[in-house]
Amino acid sequence: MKKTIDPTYESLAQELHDIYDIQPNSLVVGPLTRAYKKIAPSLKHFPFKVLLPCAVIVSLVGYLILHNLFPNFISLLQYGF
Amino acid sequence: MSPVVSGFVFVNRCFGLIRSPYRTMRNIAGTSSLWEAVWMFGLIGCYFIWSQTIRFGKNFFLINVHSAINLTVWVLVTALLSTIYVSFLSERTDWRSFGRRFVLWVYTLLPTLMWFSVASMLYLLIPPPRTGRFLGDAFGLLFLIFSVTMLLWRGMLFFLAIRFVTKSDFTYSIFVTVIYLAWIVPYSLFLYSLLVFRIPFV
Repeated sequence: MKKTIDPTYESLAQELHDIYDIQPNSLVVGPLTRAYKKIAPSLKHFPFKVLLPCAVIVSLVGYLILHNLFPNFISLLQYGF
Repeated sequence: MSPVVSGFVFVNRCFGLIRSPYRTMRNIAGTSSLWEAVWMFGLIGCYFIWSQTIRFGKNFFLINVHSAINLTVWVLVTALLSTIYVSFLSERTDWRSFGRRFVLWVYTLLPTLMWFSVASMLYLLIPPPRTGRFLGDAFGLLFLIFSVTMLLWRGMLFFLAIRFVTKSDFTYSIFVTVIYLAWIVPYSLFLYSLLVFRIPFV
């Protein structure tokens, strides 16, 4: 007799495996863990909507700090490949 | 999995790492083929042939290919050492799944490869040195934004790889990252001293 596989059962079993395969994230301190659990979902799907603004801020800060050395730094970076 | 099918899977997973890196890295940790690593190292080898040709000209093609093979082997050895190192730090080391862990680690090289490829093309199109004028600063800022984005993406994939290799929580993953950096930074300086890489391809 042919054994039928229930696709719903298969997907639920896979979901259960995904949940318990690795430990849940904990940052020891309660507020930090809550902050992490708020930020993490936005990084799971197309994280560039968060990474790009962060990169813009970091780059502007870097530009302001380096200022006169900025062209030399970029030249070094371009030679780095 | 056949090489051709794994090629399609490889391309699909590369786009998946852009769309949803967490889900894609979890899929790679679950099921992957060593052929996917072969595809990645094939791309890396092609990049090195391209970069050596830019630096030394197309008249030295055979020497460029030889150098590219050497550099690709360096990247392969680094990836292997990294996987072994992090696997030893895992709380649940299962050496039977070493191949899958290695493929997972190799996928984290995607942002590195993209940055090096774009930097090499920009070296041709807009060669350095940069000036302090408005256009020079504007290009520099855009390039820096791109570089920082790739670095953050690399960091994210790196953290996910450690999380799925060691199967541990955030705190232990940060601990493993610090221990890993304590090894990879001197190793990168060693490669720099040997004139292998200016910026480490790790």
